[in-house]
Formats: sequence, C-alpha cells, structure tokens
Amino acid sequence: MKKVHHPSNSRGAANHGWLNSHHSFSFANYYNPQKMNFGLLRVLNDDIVAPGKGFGKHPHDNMEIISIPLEGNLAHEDSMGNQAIIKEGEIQVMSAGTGIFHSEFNASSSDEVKFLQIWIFPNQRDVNPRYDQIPLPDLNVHNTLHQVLSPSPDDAGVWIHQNAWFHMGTFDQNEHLTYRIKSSNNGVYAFVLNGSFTVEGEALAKRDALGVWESTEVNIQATSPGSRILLIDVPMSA
Amino acid sequence: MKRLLSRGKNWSVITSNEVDETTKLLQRGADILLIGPGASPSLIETWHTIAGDSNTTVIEHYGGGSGLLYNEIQEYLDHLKHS
Repeated sequence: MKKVHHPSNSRGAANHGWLNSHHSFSFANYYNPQKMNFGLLRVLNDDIVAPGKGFGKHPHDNMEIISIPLEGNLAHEDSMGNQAIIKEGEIQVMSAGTGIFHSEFNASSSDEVKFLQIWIFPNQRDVNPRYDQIPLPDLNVHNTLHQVLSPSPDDAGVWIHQNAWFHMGTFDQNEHLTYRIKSSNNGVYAFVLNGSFTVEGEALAKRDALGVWESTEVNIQATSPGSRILLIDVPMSA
Repeated sequence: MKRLLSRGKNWSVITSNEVDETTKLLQRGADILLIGPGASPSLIETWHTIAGDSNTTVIEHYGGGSGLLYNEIQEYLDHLKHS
C-alpha cells in the first residue's frame, strides 16, 4: 500500500474577495510540482463564493467537471441551454467533451455558497458535451457510504467518462468501515468534509486528505460525532 | 488567453489562428507553441510539424478552462530547469 497525506493547511489558498478558494492540487496561480494530481483526479477546489458573485461564462473542453454544494445554492447556465439551481444535497456533472461554455453563480444575494469543484481527466476525448444534476436524498442516512458518481449511466449517482466512483457518508463516532477499491489500477483520495477520521492509521481533521493506492481496500473510522467524508476512487494512470 | 498568460509573468505572448501566420512567428523564434483547446486533430498535427521544424516545444493545453494554463507551462519550465 502507498499513501500520501495532504493536511488541510498544505493546500494552495487564493482569496479574491468574491472567491475564497483552497486548492488541493496545483491550480491557477498556485503551483506545487509535488501536488499536481492524484492519478486522474486533477482538481479539487474548496470554494466559498460571496453572495450574488460567481464564475462568469467561460469555456472548457475535454474534462469531467463535478460540483458538490456543501452549503447554499449555485445558479448554473451553459451553452447547451441548461439553466438550473444546484442545491446543497445535490450533485452536478458536466462532460465538457468537444467544448462548452458555462457560468456558476451564488444563487443567493445574502448568503455565501460553499462547494467543491472537482475535475477528472476523461477516458475519451471529444465526446458530446452533457450536463446532469441529481438530488442525493440518501445522504441523510448515516453510518453507510452512498455512491454519488460512477462510470455507468445505469448505476447510482451521476456518471462520467472515466472509471471513477465517488462515495459520501456521515458517520457516528467510532463507526468503522472498509472501502474496497474498485480496480487494481485505482486509488482512493479520502477527503474529510466535517469532523475527523482515522484513515489507514492516519488521523485526519476537517479538509485533510489521504490518498491510498496499490491496495485493495481502505480502512476508515470516524473519530468524532457526525463526521462526513468524500471518497474519490480514480485510476492512478490513464 | 493572451491576457491570462501575460498577467504578472515575464512572458511575451502572441496569439494566432492561421497556419501561415504561425509559421512566420515560429521562424522568428519562440520557446513554446501552446495549442489552445478546440483544435482539430489534423490542425494539431500541422502545428507539431511546424514547431518541429523550428525547434519549438509544443504544449497542448488539455482544456478544462484557464485553471490549468499557467500550470501546464510552469511544468515545462521546471522540466527545462532540471534537464
């Protein structure tokens, strides 16, 4: 088993006033050659956007882009004609493929929105662009992992063009789980959303992360009440 | 893209959409040819050929928006520093 520990305070920080962002991997003006990616997971941004502010219309191509609101609501518009509000408890996915334009704004004029922006390299270039968002009502059920993303349109959660799976869960103190990694070529990036965990013997607090690969499973234990975790299971190479 | 690449860096950035114009620019000398998103495979091949003729390094901007632009170039510059 191989492991990499990324404490919360080792992330790149950028405060633009309207946007307070923490980058788990090199992004924009944050460049750390030791933190470029975890396998095909290229971007994990922890964003707080001021009321009424947001990312204006901008292009993407050939990237799988996942947004998960943690608090508040995002207003989405794109060049495929989609207009939507993505709420806390939902997940949004875009396959940029041949190219899309989109904007994401805080839908509130009074409250911040906090959300995760995740980019994964796709396993096919130049696919037809697509957009989806779904509610995740099962997240209210504690002490189990819930699949929120997979490679299959027929499986639970949203899907992307990559052999990647996301799971989220909220756990009572001392609850233990074993997560089985989906493929021998995959690794898991465990990112603590709230509370604290021990992951493969490493103590993790809020927004700390541990990447694990060359292993078949990951042992996880919640060490404080109501602890919440996101597991990103991705290929370590294309 | 030009605005983003020029901001706060000591880089001279020229943009071009035309093969002839790009060929002339490369003949005058350039360190990097950055291919933006959305180019067709045949056009990408053409850029590689032209850049190869003038010993210019090609970086294919993977896409995904401006968040990775600076990083892709900095990775190459680090590689140069250590080679």
